[in-house]
Formats: sequence, structure tokens, C-alpha cells
Amino acid sequence: MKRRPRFLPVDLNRSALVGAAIVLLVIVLSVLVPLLSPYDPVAATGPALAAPGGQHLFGTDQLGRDVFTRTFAAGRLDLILALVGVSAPLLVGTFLGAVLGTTRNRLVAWLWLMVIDAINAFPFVVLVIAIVAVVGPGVTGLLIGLAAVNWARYARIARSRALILRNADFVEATRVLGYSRLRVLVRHILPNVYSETIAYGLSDFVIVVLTVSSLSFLGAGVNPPTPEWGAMIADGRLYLQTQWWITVFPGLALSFTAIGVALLAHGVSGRYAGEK
Amino acid sequence: MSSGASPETARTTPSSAGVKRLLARTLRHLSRAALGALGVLLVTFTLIHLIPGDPVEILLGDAATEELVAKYRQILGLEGSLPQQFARYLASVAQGDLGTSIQTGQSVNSVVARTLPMTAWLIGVTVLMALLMALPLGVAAALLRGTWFDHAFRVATSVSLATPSFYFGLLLILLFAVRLGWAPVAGYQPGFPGNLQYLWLPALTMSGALVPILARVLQSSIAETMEQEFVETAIVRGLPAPVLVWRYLLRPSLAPTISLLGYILGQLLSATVVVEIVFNLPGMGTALVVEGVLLRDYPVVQGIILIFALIVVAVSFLSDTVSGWLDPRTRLS
Amino acid sequence: MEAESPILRVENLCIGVPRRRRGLLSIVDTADFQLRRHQALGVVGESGSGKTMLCRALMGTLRRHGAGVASGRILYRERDLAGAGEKVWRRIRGRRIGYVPQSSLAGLNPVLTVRTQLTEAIHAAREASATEAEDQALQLLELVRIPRSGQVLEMRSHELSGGMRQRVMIAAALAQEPEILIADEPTTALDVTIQREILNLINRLRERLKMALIFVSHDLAVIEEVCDSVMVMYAGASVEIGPLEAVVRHPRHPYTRALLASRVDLAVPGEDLETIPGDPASVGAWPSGCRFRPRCPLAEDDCREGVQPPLAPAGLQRTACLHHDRMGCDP
Ligand SMILES: Nc1ncnc2c1ncn2[C@@H]1O[C@H](COP(=O)(O)OP(=O)(O)O)[C@@H](O)[C@H]1O
Ligand SMILES: [Mg+2]
Repeated sequence: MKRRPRFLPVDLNRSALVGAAIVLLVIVLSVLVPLLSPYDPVAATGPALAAPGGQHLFGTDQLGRDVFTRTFAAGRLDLILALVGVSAPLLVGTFLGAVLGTTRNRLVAWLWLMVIDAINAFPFVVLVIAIVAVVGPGVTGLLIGLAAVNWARYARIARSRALILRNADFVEATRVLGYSRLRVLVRHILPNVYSETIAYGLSDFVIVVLTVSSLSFLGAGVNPPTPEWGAMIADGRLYLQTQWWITVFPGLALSFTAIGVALLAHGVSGRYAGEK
Repeated sequence: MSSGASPETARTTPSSAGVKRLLARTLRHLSRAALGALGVLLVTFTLIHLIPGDPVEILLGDAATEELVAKYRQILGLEGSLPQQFARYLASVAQGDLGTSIQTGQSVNSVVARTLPMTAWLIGVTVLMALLMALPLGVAAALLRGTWFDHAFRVATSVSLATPSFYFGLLLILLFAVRLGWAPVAGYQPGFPGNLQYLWLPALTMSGALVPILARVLQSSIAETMEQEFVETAIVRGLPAPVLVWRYLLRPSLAPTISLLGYILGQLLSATVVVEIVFNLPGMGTALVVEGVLLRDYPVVQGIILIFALIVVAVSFLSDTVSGWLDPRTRLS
Repeated sequence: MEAESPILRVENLCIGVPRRRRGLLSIVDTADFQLRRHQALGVVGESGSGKTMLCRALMGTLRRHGAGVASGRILYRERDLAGAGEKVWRRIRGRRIGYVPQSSLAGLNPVLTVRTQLTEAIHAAREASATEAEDQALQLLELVRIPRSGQVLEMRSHELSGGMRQRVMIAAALAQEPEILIADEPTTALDVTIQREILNLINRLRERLKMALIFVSHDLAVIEEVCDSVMVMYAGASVEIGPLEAVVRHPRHPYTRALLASRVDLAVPGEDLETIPGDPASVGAWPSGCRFRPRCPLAEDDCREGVQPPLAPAGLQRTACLHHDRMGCDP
């Protein structure tokens, strides 16, 4: 097959392209919504429960707030939360996993591994909820909960990757050259391990964005007046029969985003897997 | 399959060596399971206690005087170092006592006893329903690889996986409960079989997350099996199609699916929490959210987490056993 | 000699793999032979010469392997199976033609007991009660000389040795009492002593059950143990066919002669084993004319021309070589 020149660090196949287009659309709308819409996302700007169309593209909710504006204001928050919820555990977990994969202290590694496996075997959302229950609901609690649970997945992946790398020829060679173990870890193992966990991070983004909205839906995440997809859906629940737009539009935006990222992850990780 | 299947009858008498092996395997699984439960308990205990925010101060709020705090610490078993607390907690759990709720003064045991049966029913119905849907879907998707069905299957499973269960649940309520009136909207009543009318829609919601994963794994597992030599053998022996599909395609492919089911079921408990809230079901998930998060009753949280941990362990034990029964190859390792 | 009509006649069979936009890739070309009752035909050729594909054609499973019959006929009792559908084949497979496939060490279903696999084959052929089928299964195991057959009945593939698996595979192929048994390299993956036992078994079975046998092997010595006639294949074509004695004594194709010369069991100690010069012709790159030409000591200009000549009659022994009259008497 002919290689096309690369504009991007990845070969974009169709799945990745469609995914990227969807994600881009959501991002652009979320960023530009203050310009696109004359309304304030948290203030009543029209009659309550107005149907979609005319002045309000997606209608208004029970408090007369514009659903379109809120949906994409929520998009911004959800994307940022998910980004933080993925990247913090990714950075910490990967580093920890790489260290565990290279350490010679068997006992410590074994103990950590037990903790990691226990966390991973446990239902993700339940554990986050448990932590939020202690820390208290809200954005801070949500992020702490996500970080406290999610690192373990990255640590697991990073550890197995590091174990393989540790025995790889080129790492062996650096050791023969007398490089310190720290240097081998930082210069040779970590970059490789990170490229692996970042690939996973993309599909993890789907899980995290769904978790953020689930928790907000349950009242354990972002608190009401702030627009957030899950919270908006919880808000509109009572009006589901008659004013469907209050729930359906944020839900569609959420699913749409999740599908887009999933497609992107599939397209990109397919490449990672194939390249090995 | 009139004459195709022969009943597996009388002459099967497992040798004593076989029984011993089975016992050893069971013991190994159980001990691993117990270790796993202990691990989860330790982890949640540590997480809950290491995280900023003193439960007593939160509980007492502005009224917190030193004596009062000390008194409550004692009541709640919060004095001493963390390992001491953990040891004390373990000891009481070992005696079957999960502690006392801060908010209501009820024993956590009673909270669990009140909410566990409903959650167990929900999980059971979900698993059954999901398997009933995933099996034919997975088989069809494997046999019809590359056709329009396969493509539709891929799209549908992707969409289904990207739809959060609370949203999917609401849409199902709108369609089946509100529009069609096929299911009650609220007011769960325990007792089989009456409870099924409250449970089928929540179970369907959870299947929305479970079926795609199971069916996909089954599809690729069957595709792998189809390449196996023994399938060719079965064909050249002129075996009838039902025997071929069930014994030569499905059964050898089922073990990985069931093992995976064990793992995903653990994750499915997350969906249980959400779905119980969406459908107003009085289960453990609702207790966790309402009493745990909204009322910040951490002994209840800890007790429920422990039960969830036990469920995870039990389920993975069960699925290991079943997949071992389905596929003797996995028994070897 | 009885003028009995053969039960199986394969006439100029061609097998090909359809390729996208590049036409048909020919894998077997002009396989041509007959099989009478009680006859044991050996099929010999280097690996890659198309023996297994030929077997698959006779079992109707080519499609599963992305191939198909391009032309020619497979006449079973005067009925052409070359273009038959699944429905017809299902009645042939197992019941009329039993097949022990090549890698049959992996041929048993790992999750089913031997009992299940034997009884289901029995049930596929006829109505039988569970006990009847089970009794027959036991008899089958005894027929293939499996000791402690009662225990083996409850075992699964991973509990059996290679030789035992092969015996069970043969038992399963015999479960429906077929007229023809096809065994594709049934001894190749086995130890030498086990090989011998399996060969003896096949010999005994053939006498006892009065069936016809097609025995495929890359090893002529093995074929000599069980067969009374032999077909030599080279690069997808049958190049020589005839009674075993005659072919071995007086090969009429240079390739057969080369095969005989390279036999390990006839080698004189101390002398170098003769090997055939050059590489086997690979699928898709067959030379024009006689495919053995580039490696043939007798090749002349006329060997280049046209297609591979069909088997020329030379008494009971037929050869595709244009210059067989120039061959020496003994190998
Ligand atoms: N599906 C296929 N597509 C292309 N080539 C094939 C296919 N199946 C078999 N072949 C080729 O056909 C030739 C004959 O194979 P086979 O019948 O297995 O030989 P033998 O059994 O004599 O060793 C081999 O060169 C093999 O590579
Ligand atoms: Mg072969």
C-alpha cells in the first residue's frame, strides 16, 4: 500500500475520521456557544417549557432556560472534566505502573499489584460514588473520586508493558552500557509505556465522560444550576412525557460525543495494535 | 434435534482422582476469591479513611465540641490508628456485624437485608435476559460475517455502548412504561413472580450495556472456533446442523464469554446503582446513593461496598466454575 | 478379473481458488483415477502437490477453504458430485465416504467426550436408542483396538495420546459404515512405532470391513504397506497411476523414479541418498507443458509445449510422461 504523507501523527482510517469529525463538532459548538447563542446558560431567558424551534432551537426548560445554550455549555464542562479525569490518573498511574514493572522489590510490587487488581475488579462507578460519599458531592469530590479509582487501570497496563520492555533488547543493551536504572526508566521505558497508556486513555475517555454524567445524574457530581449533561437529564426527568426536549437533547449530545470518541479510539488504537 | 442428542446418562461415574482435582480447584478458587474480597475491603477502607474530610466533624457540623467528637469517634469505632480501626472492623465483620448507621442508628445489616434481595433479583434477571439476547446475536453475527447483518450489528453495539444507562433507561420508560403501559413506573413489590413486571425494564436497560459486549466476544470467539480443525471433522462426519452449531461452534466458544461475563458483571454493578435510581427501585444502589452520598452515612457506604465486593467475588468464582465445566481445556491450567 | 464398475471415478478434476480480478488460481489440475470396491489406492506426492485439496474435493468441503471444482467430474456410483449442493453432500459425508483429515490430532472436539462424538456420528446415520448407540461406540473402540474402551469413552481429547486420538478419529470415520475411507496422512504426525500400529490397524480394518481405501501420504514406503495401487501426484496433476507392484518395479514417469530413488528405507548404508534436483513447482508458478520438466533428466523440447499431457494408457499402468519409453528398466 502507498503511504500518504502524514499531516497528523496517526494514520486516519475511516472510523477515526468520522470519530474525529464528531468530536470536533462537539468541541467547536461547546467553545463557540457563547458567540452562537445570545442566551445565558443559567438564567431564565424565555418562557418556560417552550417547544424547540423559533427563538429557542432546542426549546427551553422548566425554568425558561435555553436548552441549546445549556447543552453546549454543559459540553464544555463535561469535556474538561473528562479530560482532567483521564489525564491525571493517566500521568500518575502510568508512572507508578512503570516503576512497579521495573522494580526489583518483589514484595512491594506484589502488594501494590494486589491493591491495583482489587480496585480494577470492583465496579468503577460504585467505587467513585463511595469516595464521593466521603469527600462530598461536587466537582472536587467527583475529580478526587475519579482519580482515586482510575489510576489503577493505567498502572495495570503500564506495568505489563514495562515488564515486556524491561526484557527488550534495547533496554538490555542500555543496561550493559552501564546506564543507571533511573535513566533507563526515564529515557527508555517511560516514553514507550506512555504511548501505550495514552492510546488506552482515548477509550477510557468514553468511560469517564459517561461516569461524570452518571454521577451528576445521581446527584453526586456537578450540582444543579451549572449546566451538565447528566444533571440536565435528571432535571428534565419529570417532564419526560410532555417536554421531551429537556432530556433528549443533552442525552443526544452525550451519546454523540461518546460515539465520536469511541470511533476515534478504535481507529487510533487499531493503528497502535497493528504497528507494535 | 430428535435423534441427534444422546442423554448423558448412567455410565458417567467420576473417578476419585477427578473428584479430588475438582475439590482442589474449588479450594484454590475460593481462597483466591477470599483474598480478593479482603483486598477490596482493605482498599475501600483505606480510601474512605485517607480521604480528606472527617466524618465526625461533617456529621456534627458546627456543634462539634471536643468531647462530643471524642464520644462519636468511640461510637463509630474511629479511635486509634488506621490499622487498629481496620482490625476492629474486620473482627466485627467476621462476626457478621457490619456496623451502625450514623444517620438512623439502624444496623447496617438491616439495611443490607432490606435492599440486597431486590438487587440480587435485578442482577439475576439481567444476566438471564442478556444471555438470551447475546447468544443468538453473537452466533448470527459470527455466521453472517461480512453481511449487512454484521455491519448493522457493529453499528448497533457501538451506539448501545456509547449510550449511558440512565439515558437509555429513561427512553425505555418513555416508550414502554409511559406510551405503551407495559410496565409500572414505580412502586416495586417484592415476591416472585410479581416482581418481574417491575424488573424486566430495568434489566433490559442494563442489558443495553451487557449484550453488546457479550455478543461481540461471542462473535469473535465463534469466528476463532470456526477455524478449528474439529469443525471440519464434524462437517465431514455429516453431522446435522443443530449438533454442529451447538456442540462444535457454540460450546467451545462459550467458555471465554462466560469468563468475561464474570468480569463484566462486576462492572455491571455500577449500572445497577444508576438503574435502581432511574427506576425507583429500593435496592442497594439506591441505598448507596441516598444514604451514602446524600446523607453521607459512611458505615452504610462501607457495608454496601463490602457486600458489593462479595458479589463481585462470588460472581467471578461462579463464572470460573461454569466456564471450567463448559470447557475442560481451561481446567488444565 | 471381475468387470465390476468402479464406485468412484474422478475424471480430469480441476480445483481452483477464485481470486479477485485475477481469475482462477489452479491448485489441482487433471486428477484422474478410479476406485473399485475393496481397492486401496495410495496417493503420493510432495507436500503442496494438492493431495489434501483433492481429498476435500471428494468430501465437498472445498468451499470452506475458499476453493472449488473448476472442471471435471467426481462420479460416485455414476452420480456426479462435482457441482452437488450441501444437501446432497450431507448424505454422502460420513455415510458413504468416511474421512480422517490430515491434522486429525486436533480433529477431536476438546469439550466433548469420545462417547458423545462417536454416538452423535452413529445417530447421524440411523435411528438408534441411546444404549444401542453406546454399545456400538464401544464396539467401534474395540474395532480400532483401543484398550480399556469403557474408560476411553469418557475421556476428552487432551486426555488421549496422539496414537489414541488417531484411533478415535478412525473409529468416528467408520461409525456410519462407509463404503470408502479416505485417510489423509494418517501417520505423519506420529512416532514410528505408533505409525506401524496404525498401518496394521488400517490393513486389518480394510480386510474386515471390505471397504475401499484412499490413503494419502507423502511417503511411498508407507503407501506400500497398505495399498494395492498408487497414484503419483506432482504439482496438482496425477502423473502416474497403476498397480503398486508395477509402479514400484517399473516406474514410467521420471518423477516417480526420483521419488523411489530418494526413499530412505531403500538407501544403501554409506551411499548418499539421491535427492531430486531443483525446487518443487509451486502453485501459481507451474511451468508450461510438463510441470516436472525443469527438474527432469529426460526433458526435451516437446515437453514444453501445450498443456500437461493427459495420462496415456500403457496397459494398466498409465503415465503422463511423453518419453516414458526412454526410461531405464529399474530405478
Ligand atoms: N485457499 C487456498 N488458496 C490458495 N492456495 C491454496 C489454498 N488452499 C491450498 N492452497 C495451496 O494448494 C497447494 C496444495 O495444497 P495441499 O492440497 O494441502 O497439498 P498437500 O496436501 O499435497 O500437501 C498448496 O501449495 C497450498 O498452498
Ligand atoms: Mg496435505
